[in-house]
Amino acid sequence: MTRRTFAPDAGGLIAGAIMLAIGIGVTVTSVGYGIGSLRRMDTGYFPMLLGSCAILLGLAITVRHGLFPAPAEDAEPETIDWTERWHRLRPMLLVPLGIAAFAALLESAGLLIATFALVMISGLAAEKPNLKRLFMIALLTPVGAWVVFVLGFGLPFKLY
Amino acid sequence: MELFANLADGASIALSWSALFYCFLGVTLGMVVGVLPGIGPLPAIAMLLPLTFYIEPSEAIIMLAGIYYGGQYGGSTASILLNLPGTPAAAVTCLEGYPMAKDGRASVALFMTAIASLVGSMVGIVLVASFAPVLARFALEFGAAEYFSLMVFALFAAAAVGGSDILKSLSMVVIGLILGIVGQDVTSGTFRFTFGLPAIADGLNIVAVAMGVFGVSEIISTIAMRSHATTFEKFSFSSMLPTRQEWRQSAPAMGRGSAIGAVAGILPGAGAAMASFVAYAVELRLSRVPHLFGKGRIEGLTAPESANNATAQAAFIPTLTLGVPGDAVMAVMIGALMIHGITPGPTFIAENPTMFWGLVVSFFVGNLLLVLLNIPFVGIWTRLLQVPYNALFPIILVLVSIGVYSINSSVVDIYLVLGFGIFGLVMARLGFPPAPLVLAFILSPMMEENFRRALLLSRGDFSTFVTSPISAVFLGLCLVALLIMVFSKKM
Repeated sequence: MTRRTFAPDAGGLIAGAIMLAIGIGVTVTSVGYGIGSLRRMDTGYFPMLLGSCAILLGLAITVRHGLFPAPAEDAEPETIDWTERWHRLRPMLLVPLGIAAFAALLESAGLLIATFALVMISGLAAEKPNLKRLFMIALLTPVGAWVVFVLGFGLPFKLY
Repeated sequence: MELFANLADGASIALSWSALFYCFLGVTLGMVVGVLPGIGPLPAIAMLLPLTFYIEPSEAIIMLAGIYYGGQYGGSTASILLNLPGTPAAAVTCLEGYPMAKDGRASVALFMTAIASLVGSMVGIVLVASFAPVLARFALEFGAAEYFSLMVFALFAAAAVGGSDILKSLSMVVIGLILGIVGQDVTSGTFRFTFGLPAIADGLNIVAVAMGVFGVSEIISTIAMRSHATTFEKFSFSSMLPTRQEWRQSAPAMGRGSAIGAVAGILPGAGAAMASFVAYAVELRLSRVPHLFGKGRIEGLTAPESANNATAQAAFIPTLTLGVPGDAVMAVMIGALMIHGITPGPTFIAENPTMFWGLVVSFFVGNLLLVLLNIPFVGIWTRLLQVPYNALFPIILVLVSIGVYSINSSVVDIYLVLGFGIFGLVMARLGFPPAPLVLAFILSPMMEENFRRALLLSRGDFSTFVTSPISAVFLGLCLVALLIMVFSKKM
């Protein structure tokens, strides 16, 4: 079973929408901070300018997308099957999950367990994880981190 | 002469045993991260930042600088042997280096890139020593309007170099500027865009932002790539020596490359990747045998190598004397200096003369160490390339997480890395380049301050930005950069 990765040129629309959203959000918030006058600018003036720039860029990207849609590729649209999709998606899920686990565990369970969790979870993101090797690395890295950062640099970490 | 007195002064700092040790540590680590594709110098800097809290500031900057220019040496190794650039600037090195390796001339290619790197670096260092103090004195004359326009120009240049799509590069500049505003406003004390979170009341951590959009998103996309088969020839010293013919072809190319790289380094916002690309294009244009390029021409290898190393050294000129970084790594370096209470700018050299000259002398030392690391020990680096990425990246993630956490002992900073990692990945997918964001982020507070001061002094009159000749020149250059971007897209 195969599917296309992206609609051919949805990218331009999404990019424009992101910039518009950022711009509007920033501009509205900045006006709330107080604009002041050109002579004596208040807190919100500079951010408001930046927000306006973001809106202009967002509009420009959207308009360009509408006027000059990305040329349709002559080649076959890229088709990938589900294993390939999963292979590409896995690092995007497991690496952030590993980092989140590290952040959540660091001050409660301590450096050793947090490091072990980060290595084990993110290591599974590899295409064909070598589980035995990964487990060894996950056991040794906390020890290494302890030696280098706690014994070596003297950083104040809660170990466990 | 004053210069020699200054250098002698610097030598007293740079040649102490501890400074030599930190210099060695920096360049070696720079070499490691340069050799390994998929890790830039940023993770190495993030990892070593906590260490720098416990050593002298001048030794800290010597070490961090070593990571930066050491990475330029290492970047070419994977380009030549695997056709995979270790750093963005080394992408051009693949064009001639990999064909040479396939031809059985990998040893010669590695030897010549080390020599070319040394030549380029030396040109860059001489420029730093002679030109940086002059530029600093000149920049002392800058008022708020001039400073603001200079920074606008730097951001335009970064956007022009950073990506093929000008609207998207400029978008990243604006997003970076907005992120730089987060935190307490210096003038009024109001908290802006902090969403009531005390952890970001002092602003977002530059290391967390940079590690997210560069480090984590780069690691994720490297994992998704297929691994490469690696088999290497044995290296002996005699096999590394180039022929007289190859020396003759390389020497002028190194000179031209160094000159191009030095100019690119002085320009704020232009990085090593652009310099090496231009140097290659120039060699191609000048060559009488352009049809042989792409098949292992040695001048196409040495010119870009000299260029990116010259840029790496010369880039310290705008970074230290103007406080305007040339690329994302330099932006983080400025952040690191600020952690140590040192603000780069026109007064930096006058206020920290021994630190500046110590750094210059350490450049000489570091580059000689790098040539030693490269030529006799080339076998170590090729073996390093055989370590599978799958075994490395979890360890890199650990180092990054610990490093980022240690800066402020803040778990929120780890979540920021995570958030910006995902953000950087999405934006990269949509064709937005990450480098302009990091540059804009570090410049944002200074830009706002100078913008407000300039308009306060001119009583709200915008013409102050064009009536000052220096400021007008910078804004004119922005227009030129913009036109070049629009024009080159059409070609």
